[in-house]
Amino acid sequence: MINNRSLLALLFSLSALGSVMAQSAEISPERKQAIDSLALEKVRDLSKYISIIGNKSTPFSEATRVMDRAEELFAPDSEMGVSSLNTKEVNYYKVRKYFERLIALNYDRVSIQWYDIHYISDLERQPDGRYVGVVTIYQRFEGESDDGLKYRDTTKKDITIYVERKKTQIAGRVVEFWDVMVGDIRVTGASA
Amino acid sequence: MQATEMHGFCYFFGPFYAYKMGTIFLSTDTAGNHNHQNYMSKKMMRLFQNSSRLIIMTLIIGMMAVGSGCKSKKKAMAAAAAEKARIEQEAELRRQQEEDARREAEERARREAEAKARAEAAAPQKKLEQLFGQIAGASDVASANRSITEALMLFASDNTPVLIVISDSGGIKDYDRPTTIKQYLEYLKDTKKNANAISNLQFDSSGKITEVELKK
Repeated sequence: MINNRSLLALLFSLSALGSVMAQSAEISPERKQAIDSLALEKVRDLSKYISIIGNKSTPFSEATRVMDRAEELFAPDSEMGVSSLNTKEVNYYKVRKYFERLIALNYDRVSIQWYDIHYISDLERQPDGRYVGVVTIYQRFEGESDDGLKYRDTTKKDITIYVERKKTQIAGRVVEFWDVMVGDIRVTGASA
Repeated sequence: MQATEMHGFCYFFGPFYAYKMGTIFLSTDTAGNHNHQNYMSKKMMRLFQNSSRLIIMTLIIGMMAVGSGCKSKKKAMAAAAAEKARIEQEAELRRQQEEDARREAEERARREAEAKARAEAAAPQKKLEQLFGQIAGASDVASANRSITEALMLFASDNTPVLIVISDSGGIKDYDRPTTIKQYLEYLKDTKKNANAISNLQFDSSGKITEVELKK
């Protein structure tokens, strides 16, 4: 004999199952793979921007322009973690502030390279419809001055990635696109 | 008195002629006058005979000429007809060859016009692809900026929209965040990466590009 409680439990299970199925059936594997690749490509683009901004041979006007492009990759209020072997502490700066500090570094030559860029947590769809994942990178920083001052370190950083479906108008028609945004970049390790 | 008899008569039929001398009777008179008269008569007869022969020969030759003329005429007519047919055949062949040549020339002109139209339609895309490569492969900022300036001249505006297709499966196109052509060209300069292919260009009435679609 089915009572009300059992019936309610059954209905709840069915709706939960339906919700899970709806989420996993959202996009095809091909489309998901394209989004994964797009997000990874944005992280690589960011690394090139940071390298240009930190390069002392980059003209100031170019560095400012690139800072604007790099900032557009970030979600609002995102922060960049910066470590130092000297202080062994990690500081977090708003993205624009980080770039301004990068330009102002007191070296004659600066080289910043990101490598071994890969997912440590795949992009997964959240209840609000966004996809969230984590990409890890290794950053090699080298700073040299003409007076012999040198600083080198390797930092491991985890980057939170958000991918969201958005709409815009192009030539009078609605175009849907995948918007990749970089979240906080947290330091997870540092070495000489 | 001796009579000299000569027989002769003439036959004339068709193109063939024959003659036979008829008999001519001469009578003699008394001696003396008769001898002179005989002599004159014989002389006149001889003359007449020669004249007759001459006339007959002339007639025969004339008839033969006419006959052979008729034959020749027929042959000539046949030859003329054959010649006319040959000339007409050659003229027909020549006319057909000219017609074929004219048709081939028209076809060739049509193909060339189509190829030219296709090339003109593809020219802006090729030019843009070339400039994309130049910007991404530029050795310094200055040369990259020169190529960017040249590329922007192909567009209606620096803010011409650029759509980048990241996936096209199951009839669904997925796009990256739309950007402008100026920002995209600067992206090529900054990243030194030209990995997207041009899949579609939209133009305005003055031939300027108003929209770009790229494909990864």
